[in-house]
Amino acid sequence: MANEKTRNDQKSVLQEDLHLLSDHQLMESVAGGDESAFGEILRRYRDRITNFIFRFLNDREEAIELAQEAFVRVYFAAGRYHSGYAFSTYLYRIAANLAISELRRRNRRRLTSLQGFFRDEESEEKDYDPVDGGQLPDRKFESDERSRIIGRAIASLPENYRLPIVLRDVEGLSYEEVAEVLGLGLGTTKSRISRGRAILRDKLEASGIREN
Amino acid sequence: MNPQEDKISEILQKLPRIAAPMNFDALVMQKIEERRIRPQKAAIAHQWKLWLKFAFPAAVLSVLAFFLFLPSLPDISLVPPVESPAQLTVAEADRESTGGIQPRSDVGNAVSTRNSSLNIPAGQKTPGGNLRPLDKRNSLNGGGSLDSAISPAQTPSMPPGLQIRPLASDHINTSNTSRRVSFREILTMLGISAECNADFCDVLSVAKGSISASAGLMSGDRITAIDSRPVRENLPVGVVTVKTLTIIRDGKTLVLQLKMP
Repeated sequence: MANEKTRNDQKSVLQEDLHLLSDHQLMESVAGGDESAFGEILRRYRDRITNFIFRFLNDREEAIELAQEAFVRVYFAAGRYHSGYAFSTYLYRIAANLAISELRRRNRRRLTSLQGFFRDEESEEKDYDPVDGGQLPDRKFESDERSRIIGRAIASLPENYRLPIVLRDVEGLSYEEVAEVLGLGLGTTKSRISRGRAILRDKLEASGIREN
Repeated sequence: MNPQEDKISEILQKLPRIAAPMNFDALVMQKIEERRIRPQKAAIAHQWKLWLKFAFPAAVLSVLAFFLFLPSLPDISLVPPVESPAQLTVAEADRESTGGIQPRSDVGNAVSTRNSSLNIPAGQKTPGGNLRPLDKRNSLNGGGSLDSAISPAQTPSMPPGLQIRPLASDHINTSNTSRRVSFREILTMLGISAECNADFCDVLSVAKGSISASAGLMSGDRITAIDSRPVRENLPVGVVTVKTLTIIRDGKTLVLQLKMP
């Protein structure tokens, strides 16, 4: 009984220690086979990565799946991890690559779909549905609908603009961090973000979303 | 950043964030465990893929080659099953009941060759009596049976010994020198059941009434040559006349003369 209590105390101390460790230190522990350190990394980043992929793909189930895959890759690549970049940058880059691969796979599938051969101008499928201009009775429903439309508008952005916009405005990364994740220069990154916002503004205005 | 960009950025920042599901960590750990096991399975799958990659095309090519080159392949004689003395007794009973030696399709199939080019020419006879000429069906079915091998000829003017010649109707060109008659086929036609090695054949039984029996061949003899040709040689098709059998009996080499009675 006493031994069990001691073990639990040690465990809680270890948990507190993990909480205090930096990402790099946790990754070193993961490389050494410490699964509790990996659990701490999961706790810190699972929501951010899931949300990031969700906003990029606008598909919740796929976002969860790809976020899990990103963490699995981090686990198996822990031995090769170098602390040259911030861990968050490293993790976002893995997640971004997975999301881009998924997006391209979907585009290929859409290109090869038979629907494309029979689709005419009038029945052309829209990337997002413009909202009905009328008043909505329920504020919550209105908010949900607004989020849904914005999400679709983001997902309809070209890939080059979508990724920096999501990283900068949704995830709140700095311009430098976005540039590191994308492997681009700072100027190019800023330019893409600016251009992406302009495209997004046009789309939102077209669908009735006011900036205020 | 202009004010319009600011507002777009503000809209995006206010978007509701989705959270990972409760079992997210457990699912990640489960995937990690699966991934740890997968390399072993992947290695096995890789081996199978390699086999399929090479073995399957090889098998297809082999089948194609078989069908493409089948006509030009030399004929391969099937090894006849060794008949036990009891079976011979039954065969003899059949002969007695029919009053002569009749071709038996079952034995004929057993000793048949792929391209039947062998036949016993008409004009020979055995002590069992005259036999109708071999019908074409039986010949095409396999080139003759043990009984037909020792069948008599109807024409009285026959040469001594046993002649082996191809059928005129056979599709094999008789000028094709690659067609050979195996030593074993000849023994079968002479009514000899034997167990053959590379250099000799041990006689297991001799059909009663056959020319071999008439020549004095007995079970237990060791045949080393036919017409002075070693056992290992296959004889070319054409007219092959078998006149002598060289045997070893009780350590002594004897030459038996095959003569039609």
